[in-house]
Amino acid sequence: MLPYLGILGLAVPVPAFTLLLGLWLALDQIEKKSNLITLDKRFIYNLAFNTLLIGLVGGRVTFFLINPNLFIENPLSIVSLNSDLMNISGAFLSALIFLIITSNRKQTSLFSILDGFTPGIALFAVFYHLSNFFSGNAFGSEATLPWSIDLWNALRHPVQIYEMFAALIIFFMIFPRNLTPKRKPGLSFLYLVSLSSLSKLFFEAFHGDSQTILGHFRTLQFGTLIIFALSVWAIIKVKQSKFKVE
Amino acid sequence: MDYLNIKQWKIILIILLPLGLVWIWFSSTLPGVESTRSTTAPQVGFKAPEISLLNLAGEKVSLSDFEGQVVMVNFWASWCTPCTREMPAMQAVYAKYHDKGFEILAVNTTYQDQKSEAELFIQDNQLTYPILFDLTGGTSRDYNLLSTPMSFFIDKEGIIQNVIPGGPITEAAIISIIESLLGEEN
Repeated sequence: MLPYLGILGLAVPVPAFTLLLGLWLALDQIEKKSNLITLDKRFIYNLAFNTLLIGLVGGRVTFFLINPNLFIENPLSIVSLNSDLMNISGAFLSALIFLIITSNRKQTSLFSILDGFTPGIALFAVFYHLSNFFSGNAFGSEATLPWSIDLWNALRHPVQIYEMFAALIIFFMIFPRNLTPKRKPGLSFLYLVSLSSLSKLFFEAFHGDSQTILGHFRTLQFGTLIIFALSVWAIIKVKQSKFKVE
Repeated sequence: MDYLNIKQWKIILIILLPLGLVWIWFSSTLPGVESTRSTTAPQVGFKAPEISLLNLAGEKVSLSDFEGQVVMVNFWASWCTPCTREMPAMQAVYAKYHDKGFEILAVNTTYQDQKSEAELFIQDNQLTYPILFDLTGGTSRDYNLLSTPMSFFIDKEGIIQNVIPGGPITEAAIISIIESLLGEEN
């Protein structure tokens, strides 16, 4: 755990810095790997950036629409930097609507756009887990293993590190060095979804912060198993399609 | 990934679906969330570390005195601008929600502050919620405090439900958190 780093007398929040670094490298990857899709590299880079902005604004606006009473006395709170004033579902939904509108306007498939984002999302996942390791969030369950880490008054699985390496392996599985632009639209994104959900299904077992249902079953595992099944089904459908890659 | 054909993907699906269900069942037998609720740590999901400090009147105030209430523990210093900017918002929420079972414990990091400056700030801003003085830094250490302000939201069972590092936190943010915690038993 490394929540802060003292640099020139300033306490730099390492988890937030790691996320920012991850975001920057993710956008860079989106641009660099744009040769694998049929879209222009500036277009996909700008679209990724705009989607992020729309997601942030959409998340805040949705929160405001659901809880208008919280802003009556201090309307300026709507532009405050508190991350708690966000609705995650609203953020995802607004980003998705924006992408659907853009894909219609530019007459390109949504799958191609998602494929364009995939290198960035896959790389960002690595930094997300590393950020959790530095902050102590998403911690592991108690375990006395040679590689256990002392966190929150117990020896625990370094589950954030397990997941970070898994994300790194997933990135290189989807984007091996010799990859050529011959995949059908949607496959890169679906590979990422299927492998990531499989990874989460496996490593969630070593988490110490899992939400449970029906006694001791970990809620996220059910969700990830369903997502895995749906994504593999979608991969089969895309592979069966008659779309020819030029 | 690309070398797998349709038939192989179907086999993967058929094999991994039941295996996944078996793994979910097996995972449920491994140690999980229950152990954290009895362990003390300054992290979401854990029991909040005990606080026992002197208030403005020199009386000892403990976090355990407020069992059954939703408590916001806020660490602050008089020289810290984000801290002093968020305290009026905290006072406004306190005035509205105190009767509904909401309490604020504002821990002044006195070991790195001037007590007289802190007292002057409290007086000037007419803060009515309990202000405690961490003279030795022991409580700040227990809460793993590395910067101010920092706020911990503790539910009625004494479990930390939200941690907000930095600030200033707005009135809307505080209300959105405590309303869900106050309404939990309903």
